[in-house]
Amino acid sequence: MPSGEAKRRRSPAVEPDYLAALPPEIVDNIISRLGIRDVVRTSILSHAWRRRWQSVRGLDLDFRSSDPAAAISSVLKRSAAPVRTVTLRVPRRWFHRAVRWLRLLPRKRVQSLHLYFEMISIIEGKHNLDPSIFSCLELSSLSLAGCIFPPPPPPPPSFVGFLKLTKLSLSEIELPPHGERQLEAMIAASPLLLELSLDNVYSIDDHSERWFVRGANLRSLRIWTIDQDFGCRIGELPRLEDALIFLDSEVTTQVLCKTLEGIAHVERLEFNALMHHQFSDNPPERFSFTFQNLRSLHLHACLDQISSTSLVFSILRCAPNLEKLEIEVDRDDDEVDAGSVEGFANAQTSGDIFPRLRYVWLHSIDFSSNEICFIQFVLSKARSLELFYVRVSSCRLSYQEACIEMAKYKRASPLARLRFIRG
Amino acid sequence: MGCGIDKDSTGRVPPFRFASPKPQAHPHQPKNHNLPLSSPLLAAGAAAAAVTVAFSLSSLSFSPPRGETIVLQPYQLFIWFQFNFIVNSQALKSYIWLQCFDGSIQQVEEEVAMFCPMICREIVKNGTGSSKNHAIALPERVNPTSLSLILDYCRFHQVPGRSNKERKSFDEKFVRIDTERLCELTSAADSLQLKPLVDLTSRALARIIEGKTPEEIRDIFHLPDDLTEEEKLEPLKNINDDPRIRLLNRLYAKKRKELQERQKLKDVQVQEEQKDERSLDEILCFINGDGGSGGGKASKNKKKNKRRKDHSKNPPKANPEPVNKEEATRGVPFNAGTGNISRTPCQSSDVQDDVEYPFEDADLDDGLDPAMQEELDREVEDFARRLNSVWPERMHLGQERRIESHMIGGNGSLQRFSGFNHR
Repeated sequence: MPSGEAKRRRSPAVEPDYLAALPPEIVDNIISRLGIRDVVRTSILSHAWRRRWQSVRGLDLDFRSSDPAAAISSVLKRSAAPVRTVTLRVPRRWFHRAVRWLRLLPRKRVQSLHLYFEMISIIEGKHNLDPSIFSCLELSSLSLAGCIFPPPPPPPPSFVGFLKLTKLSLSEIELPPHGERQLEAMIAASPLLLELSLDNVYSIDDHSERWFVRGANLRSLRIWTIDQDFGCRIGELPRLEDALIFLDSEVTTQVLCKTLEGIAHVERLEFNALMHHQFSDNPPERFSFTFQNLRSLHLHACLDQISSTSLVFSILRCAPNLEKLEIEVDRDDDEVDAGSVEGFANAQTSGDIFPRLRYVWLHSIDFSSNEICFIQFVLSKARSLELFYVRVSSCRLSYQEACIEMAKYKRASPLARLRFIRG
Repeated sequence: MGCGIDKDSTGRVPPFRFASPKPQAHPHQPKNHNLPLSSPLLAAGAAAAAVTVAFSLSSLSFSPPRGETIVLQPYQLFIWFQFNFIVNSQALKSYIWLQCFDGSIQQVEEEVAMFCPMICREIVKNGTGSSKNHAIALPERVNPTSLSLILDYCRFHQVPGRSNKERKSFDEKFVRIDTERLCELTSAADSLQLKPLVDLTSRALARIIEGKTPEEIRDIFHLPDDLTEEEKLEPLKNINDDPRIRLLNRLYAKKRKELQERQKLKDVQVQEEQKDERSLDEILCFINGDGGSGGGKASKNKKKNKRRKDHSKNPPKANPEPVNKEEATRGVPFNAGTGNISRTPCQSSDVQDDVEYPFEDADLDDGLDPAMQEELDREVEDFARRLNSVWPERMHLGQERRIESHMIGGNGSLQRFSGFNHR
């Protein structure tokens, strides 16, 4: 078979090629639905397919950390058509290569970009993100993790904002000096932004500037900070529906109240109600605003601490339309303030609390006296209750005893069903 | 009587106004009422209508003319309604005539055909399809089998009352046909501009291609296997800045020259050489790292044996430092550290990767240089082939697609960014 020069082997020539019968746009569409590995594999299907994948629009280039760096480089360079997604997981030793990869992206008109840089320890510095991401103007979804946010490129060309951005997720990001202002401007300049997530975004300065999150269309907000108040404050968010706010436990009461006021119109809220009682005064008994639309509330609290319990009650008093309540008990220290719940429960004088509450979940309960008091309180007040679900982490009572105990409590709602689960 | 007509003050049922026949819904619609007059039921209905009319004529009173009203007694009403129902539900359906490129003509209910945009346009704009002689000419790509499948699809989906679940379930069963038929169906649906069906079939074809090796894909789609032997065995130029790989590339190039020389001599010897080629290829795949998966002990041992064979053959061609490099090469996966590097004692690959080699800077260019293009092509193809040698990867494909979370745990402690490690 092989002669002086290499010869092309042909499969039985009579068989037609099924895919050749399809119009090329359709085949491109099919290829664009495949994962990147399958896409690259098509290059060795036959001679005609060698470069075909490179001109397919809308590919999802989802690279893993196990892919060889050379392969990532070559695939990034060769994909000439606009791509839909680029996901890069960059280990430390490829940080310098990542700079080159990022510079290839603006040309590709990427719509969805996810960059995850490896973080080994807090001590080692984070990677400086290349400012070429600001040239990816087609971005509708951006996720960054583990890097230092770049300062904007010097004008010209000045960077206004990602005009098509709908989702922004920053995680473990270090802001440069005055980076808060820049971030604020960037968020405000993305008019279509729907979801914003700031997980442990911090500034290297000890004293962060105050900046405001603003978004005319923002529906979902997630803020998670530890060890530092990084200056983020809630600004104008008229369309907000969903919020997850985990502030550092050392924020002042004033900041806490202001934050809650800014998100008072949400429908679903998950909130960290664990406060360090040494550093903050107790929150007011009643807030000056109400959570008018709040249907679903998920609190992380410790019912054995007065500071946390008071916050829980303050919020509950101001949520008249609450339908679903979930409390996850989180004990970070073993201090128990006896009678913390009792005080609040008994102080609840006028007004209806929980008029519409239907579902209650309590997690990690271990039946301390405060928790029992809380359960009794809720059961006695919730007239519309349908389901009360308790998940126990460790319990001094046996299962039967606990069931019997709970069954004894006075219930305001005849329909209420109690469920009691271990573990 | 169930007609919903109340008696008036005189106790008589008010006369029913015989409404004039409804105007045709579409002025351009050709009146094509195929009345199967042989239907006995219809004949009875027609007779009933005739009787009804006769009766009403006889009971017409010569009162002042009140327009086109015919007085009907209630039992006559009943017969009238029955007549209407029979006629409308059965015989008065419109049919559309469609003609395929090969001349065969098919008849289909109008509402089914109208679900298809291209046919709908033909009916509305050109008025064709109303009779056998004026059948709508379908595009070339629509063959009779595809047409009947498409019409089945339209017939199911044009019914408005179906639930999403029903539709999905129908769709899933619908695409369980052999690949050739599926491709033809896609082509036909595209020429008829039936976008939902094009999407459905494209997705099905993508699912077929997903996860298969190129040999399998060629087999399924009857693609010609026309990559030359030479193309398949091209050396991997500069795919890695690792000198150990370059060493092997040099060895490989020499081997290839040998192959070409021997090809000129005898066929039999060429066969043997090809066997050697393959073993070298496997070695390269192994050495270049197959994703740290190893494929289990059996394959590892097999590869080690082959390596030792190679060892013994090539001592005269080895580089000045054969022993160290080749020993180290045994366990070098030059991809990012995953948990699977159990066989790598030395981590010197990290050091190597960090050093910048001069030709790396050349990568900064856009790759317009044809030699660079070729190199990139080789890298991509090598990546593709490497993907093929990784069998366990196929099994992990499903799991890896699902793993997408990159959220940090919310318990207040600083954690290493976890999403990164999922790959």
